[in-house]
Amino acid sequence: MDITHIASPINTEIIEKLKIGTKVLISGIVYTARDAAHQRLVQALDKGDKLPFDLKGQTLYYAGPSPAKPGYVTGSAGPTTSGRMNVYTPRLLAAGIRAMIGKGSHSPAVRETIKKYNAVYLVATGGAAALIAKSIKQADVIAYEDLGPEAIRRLVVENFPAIVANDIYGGDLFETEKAKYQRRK
Amino acid sequence: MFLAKKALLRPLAEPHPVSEVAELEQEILARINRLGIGPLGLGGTTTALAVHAEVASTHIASLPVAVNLQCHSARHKEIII
Repeated sequence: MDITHIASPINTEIIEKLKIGTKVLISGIVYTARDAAHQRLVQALDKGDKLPFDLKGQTLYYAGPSPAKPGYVTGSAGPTTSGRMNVYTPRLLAAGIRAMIGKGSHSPAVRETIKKYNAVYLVATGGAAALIAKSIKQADVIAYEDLGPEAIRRLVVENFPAIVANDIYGGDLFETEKAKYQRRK
Repeated sequence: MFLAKKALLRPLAEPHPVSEVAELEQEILARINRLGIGPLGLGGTTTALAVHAEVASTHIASLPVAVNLQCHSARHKEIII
């Protein structure tokens, strides 16, 4: 089974090699952000405020981890529904974000923006949050602490497993795979 | 919503005791699995493992339906029309 190792922050060369269906293992820095954090990031961009971290080349993970048990760096950390970020994602891609990790499909508008800005959308396995947490080696809240589990965390990950769902070639894994199995009768 | 929760908590794939309802469960399951959505939406012939239905009498003008599925949060909305 072919697996592509990718480092985050993302370099543009690797993006060209990622096509829908490609299995990847991500290592490096990933920032968690769910809808509430997305809204604040976009508000900060609107107002021209300083952002809590430099978005250039960074990866966002749509997740709000549960609290860590003593001796662990994080609790379960599974992906949440990506569709809820649709309204914010194009703005964040324009501001430098290059990869997103989530669950389920993004809108056609987001797919277009992914193409435009040479980015990639990856899906993580829903329901496997405890397993995913094993690839997280460090987790620190860096912004919006008042949001609790939805605060932005800077994660250090090693071999975080995901699959490419939207690539720079305009492909959508959900559409192509569904079509293979769809039956009228 | 109570009936939807009750259906959810029935042991997996145990059919409804009333044959008409059990048939409805089978029909819905077959239709869902023909959609091709698959696990995580990544394609496949298994989109749902089972369909459990519960029924109750109601006025024909309302026909309310409640559904519980996977990690779907039980949010609901009411509107006056």
